[in-house]
Amino acid sequence: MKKIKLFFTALVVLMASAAAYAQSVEVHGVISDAGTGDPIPFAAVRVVGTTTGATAGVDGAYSIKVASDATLEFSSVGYKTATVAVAGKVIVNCGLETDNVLEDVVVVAYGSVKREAVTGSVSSVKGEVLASAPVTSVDKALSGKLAGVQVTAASGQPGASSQIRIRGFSSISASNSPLWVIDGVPVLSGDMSIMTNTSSQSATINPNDIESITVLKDAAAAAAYGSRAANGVILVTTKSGKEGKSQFDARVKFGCSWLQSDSGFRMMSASELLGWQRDAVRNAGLNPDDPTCTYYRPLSLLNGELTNWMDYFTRPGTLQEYEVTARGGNSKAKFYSSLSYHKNNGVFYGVDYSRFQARMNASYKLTKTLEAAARVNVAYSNQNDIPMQSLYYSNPSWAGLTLLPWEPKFNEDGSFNLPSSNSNTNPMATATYDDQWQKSYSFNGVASLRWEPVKNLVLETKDAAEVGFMDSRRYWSPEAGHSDATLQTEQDFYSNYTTSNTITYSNVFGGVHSMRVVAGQEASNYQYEANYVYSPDVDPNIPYTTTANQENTEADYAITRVTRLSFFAIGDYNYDNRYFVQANVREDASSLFGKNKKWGLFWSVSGSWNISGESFMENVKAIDLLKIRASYGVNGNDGISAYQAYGLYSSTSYNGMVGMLPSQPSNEDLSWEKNKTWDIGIDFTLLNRIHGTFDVYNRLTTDMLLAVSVPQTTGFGSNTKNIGSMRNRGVEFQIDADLVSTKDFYVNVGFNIAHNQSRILDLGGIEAVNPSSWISQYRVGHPMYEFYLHDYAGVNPSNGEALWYTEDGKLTNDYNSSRQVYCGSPEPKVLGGFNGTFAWKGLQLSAFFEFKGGSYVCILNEGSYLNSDGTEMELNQMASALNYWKKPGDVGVTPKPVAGNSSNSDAARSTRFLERSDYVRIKDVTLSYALPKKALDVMHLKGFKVYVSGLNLYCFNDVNFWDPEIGVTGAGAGIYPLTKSFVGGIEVTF
Amino acid sequence: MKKLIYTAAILSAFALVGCNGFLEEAPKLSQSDELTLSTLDGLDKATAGCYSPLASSNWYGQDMILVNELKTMEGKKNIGTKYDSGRCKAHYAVNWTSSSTTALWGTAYYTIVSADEVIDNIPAVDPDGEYTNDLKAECLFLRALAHFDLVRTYAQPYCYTSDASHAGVPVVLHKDPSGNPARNTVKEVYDQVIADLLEAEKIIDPSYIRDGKDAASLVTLPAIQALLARVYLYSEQWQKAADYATKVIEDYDFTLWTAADYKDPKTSPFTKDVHELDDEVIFEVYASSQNSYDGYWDGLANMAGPGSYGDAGATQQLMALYEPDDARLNLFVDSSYGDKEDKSCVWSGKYLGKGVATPDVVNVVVLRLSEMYLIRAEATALHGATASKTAVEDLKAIAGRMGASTQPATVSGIAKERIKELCWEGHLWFDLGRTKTDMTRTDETGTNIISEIKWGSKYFAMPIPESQIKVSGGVLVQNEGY
Repeated sequence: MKKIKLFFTALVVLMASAAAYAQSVEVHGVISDAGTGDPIPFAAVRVVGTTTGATAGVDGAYSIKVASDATLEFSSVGYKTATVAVAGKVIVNCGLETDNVLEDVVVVAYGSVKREAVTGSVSSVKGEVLASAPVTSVDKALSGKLAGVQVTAASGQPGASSQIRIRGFSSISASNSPLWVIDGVPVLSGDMSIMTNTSSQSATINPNDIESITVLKDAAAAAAYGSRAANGVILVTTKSGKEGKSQFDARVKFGCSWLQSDSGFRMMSASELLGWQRDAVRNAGLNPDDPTCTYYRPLSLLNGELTNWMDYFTRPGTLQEYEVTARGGNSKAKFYSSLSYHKNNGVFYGVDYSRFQARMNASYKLTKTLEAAARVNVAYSNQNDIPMQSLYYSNPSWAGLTLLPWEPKFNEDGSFNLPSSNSNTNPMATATYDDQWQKSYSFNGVASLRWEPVKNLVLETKDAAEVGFMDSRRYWSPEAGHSDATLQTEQDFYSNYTTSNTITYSNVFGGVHSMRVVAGQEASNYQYEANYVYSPDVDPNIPYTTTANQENTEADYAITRVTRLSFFAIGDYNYDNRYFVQANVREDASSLFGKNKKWGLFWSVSGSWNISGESFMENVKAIDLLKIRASYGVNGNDGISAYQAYGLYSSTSYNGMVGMLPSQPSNEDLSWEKNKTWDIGIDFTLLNRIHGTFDVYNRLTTDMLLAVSVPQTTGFGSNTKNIGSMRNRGVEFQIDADLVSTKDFYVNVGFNIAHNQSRILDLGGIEAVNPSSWISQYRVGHPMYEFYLHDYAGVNPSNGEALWYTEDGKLTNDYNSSRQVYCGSPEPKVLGGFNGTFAWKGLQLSAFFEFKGGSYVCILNEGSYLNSDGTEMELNQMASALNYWKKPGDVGVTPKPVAGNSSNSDAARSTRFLERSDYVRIKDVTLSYALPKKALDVMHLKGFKVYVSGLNLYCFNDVNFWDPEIGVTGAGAGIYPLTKSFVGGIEVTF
Repeated sequence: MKKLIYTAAILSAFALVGCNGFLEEAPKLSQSDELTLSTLDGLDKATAGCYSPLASSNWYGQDMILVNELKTMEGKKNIGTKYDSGRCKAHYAVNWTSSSTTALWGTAYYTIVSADEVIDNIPAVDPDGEYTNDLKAECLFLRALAHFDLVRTYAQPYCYTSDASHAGVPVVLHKDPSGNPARNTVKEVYDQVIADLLEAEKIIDPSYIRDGKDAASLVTLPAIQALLARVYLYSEQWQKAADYATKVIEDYDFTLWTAADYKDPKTSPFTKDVHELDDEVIFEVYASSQNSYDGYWDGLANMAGPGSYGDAGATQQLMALYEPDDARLNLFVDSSYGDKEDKSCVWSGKYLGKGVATPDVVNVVVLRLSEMYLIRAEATALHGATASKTAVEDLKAIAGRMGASTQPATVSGIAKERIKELCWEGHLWFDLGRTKTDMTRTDETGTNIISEIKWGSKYFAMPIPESQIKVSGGVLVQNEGY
């Protein structure tokens, strides 16, 4: 070490002497921590405007020959840079302030770096931005905030999980979801529902607890998490305590939500539907007023009670949230804690979500060099719903569309009407009498010990436990129309233990050579167990499994275990904050793979050139930062279900004998799916107030995990292998500008946009997987998802029949002889967001818009049933179907309705129901007012803020449905639509 | 610095020591190959498992009967009747293509590889075969039956070329996950089938029956010998065919059914749940709704009888072969045995079902004693084999017991007796093939139905599934004409 120092000092001295001239003086002094007064070993000193510099010793002492009128710049990692004029002095001591300013530092894999030192593609968002949106879980808040990060809602239900895709889709059968890392430890994410429709694991985190989120998008940034980084990494850092007097925040939030379509989508009213049906009956050559007619539809149907079923199934949703946080600390101990309660009643009866959550983040300096810390989050959530997300008769978001308006709500005796047209089911009865809930208890804790035996060398161990218990129940009651009282219960337990151990050495030599080396090891052990009991005939008065006929009761059990082990090294080097290089190597093993190929080697190299640091840029005052970056790396994906590498036998029954038969072929060569990404980017800051980033990337997935056909002479027809490849490429741009920033007035605007295109390159020699599927076919040369539908040609103006194109481009009225075409992808071609903040004194108005374009959705299920052209005479129809063919010459209409239509005009797999899903969404508009300091002082408060927000206030789109977002495949059925909401709140700091 | 080195060394040492077992996570709810195949009990269960696919609807659960019967003059599809569910269209039109052909291929090779695994793993567990010879014999029998059924389904008959050198099916004797075998010649397949059966015959304990059951659904020494008799007949080894038929006839307690057994189709031996080994059945596939492989509503009891869909009916052409007093004529049933009245339909009563479940199930007879008599008669009368009984005596034993007159010991007489005795048991199609006889129908329904199939035409070899041709990358060659 000394030798290196000597070498660099000599080098510096040499250079310094060359530059030195007659009036030079030798200046010396001590560089110390301004807070503690402790010397800062190896701190750097540099003469401003030259390349002359020196490095302090272990005792913080330095000496340097400079001109007597020079200005010295002192710096060290973790401290703010300070400049001091020599002004003829010989002794210049300097105290450096600790650098706590988050803006300049980005959390990256296994550490944090200054923004200008980042060599990979990362995007980050600060906690306050996330917390301001009135959302239940953090995944929702990320939507539209970061270029290239697509967050798609599959459900508007409270507590629902989101589908997050960073830079498109990379895999057909393995995971496409990014890895979540909270406080340095990979955690579980995604949907953890058992019997409920959806349950977001991320919802156990309180968005207010988050200090920052960084999304690692390219291979270089994510390579340190090589094993599971193929789909990007979301790094979440929770808040820490701050030195100083304890500070308390109390927050309350109230809100309401409602269901509304912004595209004019609605169902027919009773009179509209009756008129349509009577026309349909007449078109079938029948008489709607003839009581013996199969379709007897007299006008008197309108005389009885009429019901708007969707109105009946919905209510104003409500939101309430209460939270208290405290943070504080001294030089040794710091803490942050929070306690919150959140309750959200959905817009559908029977749907709610409540969460109680507490967090404690604490750290303590045991000695000068040793610091212990623990971050613990506990949460309890209780979620009630009813069967939704599909075309279940008891799904109110489906039945609310389909039930006939003249169907009565109640029977004469006051009990719920269970219409036979709805399979003797009424979602209101279901919401009232049936159970479907999940109670989740989760614990997520990480304890860490950080030892800095000598300055610049840090040994750190992080040991985390993520443990959860989930209790779920589904009960079908006779009152809600089930023939037997049926009970299903399930208790699941999961645990995920992770240990992450690193050694980090970082230093600056000679003032210009900065380096960081991290060596580490990580291991995790995941287990999931499920206990399920099915009791088909319990006593409705005692609806528990104890009253079930034991002979019919079935029990089931499942267990999954996955272990992973990794060793890794990261090396950073930069010269004079101008030239940066980084290299990552990571060796990973996963129990999911075959015994021959458990280990995978992942790596990346990246570099950047901070052009603005060059002397020739010094006079370009407008440019504060200009940096170009390039990276290449290989990451892995092991997101497959467990035990696929094992050859297995399962029991089989024949002739009363229980035997064993092979149930899965062994695949000892099953291994990592790989993602090879290159990325070129530019980061810039102009006029000190415009920050921008531009990236171009290419992601190549190789060794894709795919179940491929094998000769049946092997005993099996297919086997999961590493075969095939696909590509994503795109561009991203993000810009943020403080247009005005004065004491009283502040205007900020931001914009981000991304384009991505996926393409399947190879499927191991075959043309397509599921070659005839309309959405889950994967075909070489096509995007990951693409609709494959019958080519609808509109309505024949002369007779009102639906027409399709045939293979040779001719028109036909026969659906079955029509051609099928690739007709658009649900993957957006562009997505992004823009936002603006206008603040004047304590008053602030901010608005955030999100947009997606170039994508399609297929309203296949609802569309075909509810634009049925008369096929469905027992279902209500969309109001858009009123524009039907009435007389020769009508164009731009839907086909002629004919009661009992059998023409296939309503066939679901048709481009008729394909729509462009471009949209711009007013995601969030918030008006807030913070009391000025004068007023606060009177009240002895540190802060007081009131605000009101509108979430998803309006969505500009033309999709003939509730909302253009229906899941990543663009074809969700019966989903809980996204709702609109208003939230108001008060935050008090004292 | 030293501390650091020590710490790092200790840490990595821990990590390396810990990593060996740490990354092995075997499933707990299924059994690994290793575990199954490394113990006696595991091998025994894996052997029992090999029986299971026999009941698949790709094999004896349906295709082996329906695919072959509807190609012959024994069967017809009930078109335009109350028993026309639209099923079996391709069966009757013999309209098989490489993308719509029987899936026996996959099921039979699955069984073969499952049996291979047991056979290959026995030496490590039980080097002397002290405990496993009987298991091995069962696996050899099932492997032989699978290869035999594959080769007679997907290849032209043995006599198609003078030395049987035409394409058969791949012989798979060892599991090979990366294997992509080509077709062996028909002779090679028959040689292997015979070799397997001979070894099974040699090593099986003559009194062995799995679990000590008295049931023809299990592999026994007479089942092995009976299959050998048939395989020798198919491969034109006449004397051996006659000798093995004699062994089965003389050495065991099997007894021929009598006219009394055929009196009422509802109680005929074909409706029995279990045939014990003093019955006529030598080997059968046991049907049960509890079987892992079960055809459910598409099972034979529902397809080839009036109980449910009933698409697969018998022909007047077949019934006209019988003399009026032949008890076997009783085993034809009309819709009075079914759930819909339609006098235009008639069925073989061999699949009326056990009447034990809904949907009903029925065992499928694979080998029975009367076939042994007929094999011996054919070998002695037509091909110069010698035996203790004459062909006329054998033919009389079969016909006489049913009150029918004895057929002459000629080509046509023996063929006719085989049809009358073994009709609807999946024999005729292959008998036509091996005797170089054209198929001619006179009782047919529907239009565009093939009423004649010339011997040697492409129809005598079913197309191999297209997916298999494709995935083999040219190694597997499709039969001509598909």
